[in-house]
Amino acid sequence: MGPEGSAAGGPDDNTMELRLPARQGNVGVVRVAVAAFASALPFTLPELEELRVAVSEAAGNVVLHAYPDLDAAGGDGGGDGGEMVVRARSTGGALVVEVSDTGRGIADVAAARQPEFTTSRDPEHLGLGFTFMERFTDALEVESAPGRGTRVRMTKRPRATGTP
Amino acid sequence: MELECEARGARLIVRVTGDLDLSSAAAFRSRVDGWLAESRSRDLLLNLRHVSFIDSVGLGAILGRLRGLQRTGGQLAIVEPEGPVRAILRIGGIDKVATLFPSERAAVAAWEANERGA
Repeated sequence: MGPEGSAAGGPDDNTMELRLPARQGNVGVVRVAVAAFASALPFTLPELEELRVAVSEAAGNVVLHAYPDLDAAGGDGGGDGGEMVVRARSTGGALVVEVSDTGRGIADVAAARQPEFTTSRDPEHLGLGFTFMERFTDALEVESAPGRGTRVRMTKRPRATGTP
Repeated sequence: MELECEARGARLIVRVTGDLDLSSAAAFRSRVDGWLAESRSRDLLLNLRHVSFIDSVGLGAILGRLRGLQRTGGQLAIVEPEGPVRAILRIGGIDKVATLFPSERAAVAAWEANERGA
């Protein structure tokens, strides 16, 4: 492979799709899979860690909030009825990760994105999920329709583009 | 996540290994609170050196223990993890509410020095 080895035909472009029951234990699966997918891009270890956190927050939100029945069962109630879909795409040197569900949706996305906003009754849930997603990626888009679900799209680019 | 505890007088040392996240925060909370009550410890040293991942729920579980300690006049000290996890903790503001140490030995030495000075 020559110095311009990544030029022809976009060999860096890649896609991945995961469908998983919305269970707590699967948040770690999503995080590992996305980090492995992302490691094909020239992310530094701190950047990969940021990505792991951002993706975990997005998947964690699905587990905690999207499907109230599962939530009542502690978020690990067996997974029937609640699914999360994770799509990752590397294109043009950037990584795009989408985490979506078909759950209850978010009534007020702008409010939910505010730091320390939470609907959880647990006082130890800080309401920092979206804040962390925003902080640790370059762009965050949230689309939600009450009763139909939520899709979170995060874009992250390696800060030092180009390989050494 | 694995937890190990050691009570030393009025202090409890808890060593955390693995991921402190959504799936382990509840166990962390109940076990640490149980140990604190059982040992009647005033202060808590959380050794996070071998924590491999932390998310906002894990951070919340640490801050929740801090609030409990503050209610009874206790203090929280933290041995920082290495590498990227450490940066996440700092971005989460943990350095503003707890005393951070590079090693368990340094944290214990600081406690002992503090005690001699008191």
